[in-house]
Amino acid sequence: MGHSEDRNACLREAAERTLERATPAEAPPTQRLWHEFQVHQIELEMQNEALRQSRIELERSRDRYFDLYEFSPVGYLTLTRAGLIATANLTAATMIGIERKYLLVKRFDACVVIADRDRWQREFRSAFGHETRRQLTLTLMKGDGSTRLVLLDYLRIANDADEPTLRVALTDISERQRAIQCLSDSHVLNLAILNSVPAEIAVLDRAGDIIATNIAWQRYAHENAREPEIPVPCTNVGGNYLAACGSGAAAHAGFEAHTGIQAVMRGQLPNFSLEYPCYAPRQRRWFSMSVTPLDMPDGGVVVAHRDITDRKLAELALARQEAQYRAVIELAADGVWVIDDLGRLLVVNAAYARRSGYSHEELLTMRIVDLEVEESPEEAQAHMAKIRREGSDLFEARHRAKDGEIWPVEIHATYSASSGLRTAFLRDISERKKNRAVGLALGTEMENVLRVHVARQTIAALAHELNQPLNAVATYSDAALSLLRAGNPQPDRLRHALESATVQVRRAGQVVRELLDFASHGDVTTAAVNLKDLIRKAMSRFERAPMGPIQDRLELEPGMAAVNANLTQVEKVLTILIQNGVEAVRDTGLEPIEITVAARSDAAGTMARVSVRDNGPGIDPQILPHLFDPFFTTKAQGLGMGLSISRAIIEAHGGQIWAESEPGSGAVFHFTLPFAS
Amino acid sequence: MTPATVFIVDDDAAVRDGLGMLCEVNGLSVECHDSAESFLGAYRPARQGCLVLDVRMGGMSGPELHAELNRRGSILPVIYLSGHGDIPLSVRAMQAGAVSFLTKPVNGDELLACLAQALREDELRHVHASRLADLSTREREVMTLAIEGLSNKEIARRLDISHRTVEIHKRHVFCKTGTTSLLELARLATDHGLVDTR
Repeated sequence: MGHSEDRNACLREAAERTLERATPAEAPPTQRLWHEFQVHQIELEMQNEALRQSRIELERSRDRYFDLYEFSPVGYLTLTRAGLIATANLTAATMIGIERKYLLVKRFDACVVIADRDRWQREFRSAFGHETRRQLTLTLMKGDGSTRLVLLDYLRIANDADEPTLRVALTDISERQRAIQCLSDSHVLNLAILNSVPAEIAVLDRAGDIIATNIAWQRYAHENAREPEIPVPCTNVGGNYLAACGSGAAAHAGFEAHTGIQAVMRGQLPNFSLEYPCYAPRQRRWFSMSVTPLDMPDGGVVVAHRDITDRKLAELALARQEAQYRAVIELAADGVWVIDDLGRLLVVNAAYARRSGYSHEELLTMRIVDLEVEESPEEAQAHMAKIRREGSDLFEARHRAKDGEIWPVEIHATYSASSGLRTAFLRDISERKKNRAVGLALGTEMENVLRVHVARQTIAALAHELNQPLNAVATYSDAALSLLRAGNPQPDRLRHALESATVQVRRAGQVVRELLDFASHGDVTTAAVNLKDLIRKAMSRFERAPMGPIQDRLELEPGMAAVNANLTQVEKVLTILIQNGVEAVRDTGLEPIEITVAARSDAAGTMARVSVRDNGPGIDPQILPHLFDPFFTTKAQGLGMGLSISRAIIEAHGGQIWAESEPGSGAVFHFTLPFAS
Repeated sequence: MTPATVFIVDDDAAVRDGLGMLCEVNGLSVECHDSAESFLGAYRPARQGCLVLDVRMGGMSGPELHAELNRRGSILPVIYLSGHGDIPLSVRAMQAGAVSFLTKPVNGDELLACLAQALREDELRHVHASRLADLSTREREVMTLAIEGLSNKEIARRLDISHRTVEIHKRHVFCKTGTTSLLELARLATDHGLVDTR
């Protein structure tokens, strides 16, 4: 009211000023009255004008509110106590899907889907009993049969004049509901994806707290927690992963992981991965960890662990195998190559590098044609074809060294179809070639050269004999160590291991002594030896040996003098000859095996001749000349060293060894030794 | 199932005894043979384990025994023991499918590591073998042809069955062998000598 009084006072003042400008200041009483009347009239007109203005404004405002009401995104309804729709805005009509003119006086219940109708009716009755604002979510059925989810917000309006009504605001929440559903679906989908991955995955926030994990992670954390030996820091949701990495249990890999995760979190690294071993009490496992940043405003990272034990074990096994290969190849006295289809050298060993004068690096850039002399493409092709066809080939070629020297080489090449690679063993045969040339020219020199050759082969053969006892010693010792580590639970076994090792060491020692004797074949220590004792000793070995029934006979010339010989070595020769005889008979299946050893003086009386005769099939005259060649053998097994060793021994003693055979009546081996003077 | 056995074949009694003892005190069960022939007499394909084999032996040599085992379709992993100077032999041994070869005198830890690896390998091979054994004759036929590179249609024509049936057999084969690709299947079948892809 105060406001309108002010306004009236204002009007009055304005009317007075208007009249003052039209009339003089001084005026008589009638004139004053007239003035008063005029002022009042003008005041009324102005009041009228103001009223008109405010009515226009009111109408505009009403129109605005009406528009707001009609086009508001919220639907408005007024319901009577009987449940009829009294008023509705356009939005409400659209939501219900019925034109407004048909909507009015329709029952609102009819628009609610049947499933929700009871609930609504209860709520509707209750709403009329209270004067509080309430809410309810309902599904409405539109005129076209489709449905939508609506949030109802309603309040009972009561004034004295009219019947109370229910004012209802409807908000369509179908879209929102769908979005929520989508969000929840995608969350379920994400979880399902996470859980289907075999890797162990955790999501960390910026502070390193674990905010989500997949099933694999949870299972791993659970299993680890059961190992009492490993103190496992908390790696469940809510735990801090960075703290877990930094704890003592995670050791060095943990520190690296800690640094890596932080670098990814700070954006210093686009991502980070780490492979690390994990020592469980019973087995060793390996894991690969990868850290990927989360592309979200809050930052954070995804940490994934994968068990790569199988791969790692395979890699280690492969590496070990390769190391074994490499060791053998590098130690070899001969050259070794691995060559691809184009003739490029993929692997070459130290022995070849030494002989050729090229460095290892240089050789790896070269091809066969750079090293071989005079092999035409046709020849090379022919070799290649043979290797492919038969799997291997043995041939001679000539190679050029870095300094231009040309050296002859014997090549043994094999081809692996699965890898497509060729492996070649290259032996420098210049010595052999030279020896052959010299030997042809100088018959006497040849003997020496051959002897050297024989000695070398002998050493190779004896190395095998040495390795056997050494191997036994190695395994006995390892077994003894294992027993001791276990607290010596079986003293008898421990004693057996150590005693056996000792026996084997003696055996190896004996081989070494023989080896040394051979290496110094020029000055074999000899002494006067009684042949009868020597032969008896050699034969007695076979009496104990499990070789089937053997009838051995000894035929000795009475009163024979002692010979000048090395007991061990000559015994070895006799052993080899008797053994050969026994095997020759046994292979034919004849029984009994008859071995006769005879000793007598030769015609000149300076040498003793020892003969070993068997009752086998005899020796093919064709192979008779090659019997004493190194590596010549007719047996399925064995190196073919026995007779060549025997020859080296007998010749070192100044004697001779040879064989005689008449087919059908067995073979005889003779050797001679000088009498002790 | 019988436990895995380490079969030691070496003609040297001391080597045999030492190896056997080392294995036994480390909890492995051992069976020693003094020759390849004796081993072959006791050999049963179902027995699990691995073979420690000397290269140089009287009678049948190590590689000859290995070749014979391969011919009989054995899947027993083989570890060679060899001296120096047998390089070409060692290379051939590895090509014939040995899991490793060790040089005499052998390092105990290395041998035990190799044995552990070989026994693991053997177990895996047996699992694969039993999966392959589950296949029916028809499934096996379909597998062989598929590995040869024939299409479903060609296989159907060859075996005189419907295209659809071939698909079902193929699915069963993948399912039973636990493989997911033809390549994987081919490798498995080749390893067990069921098909020759060369």
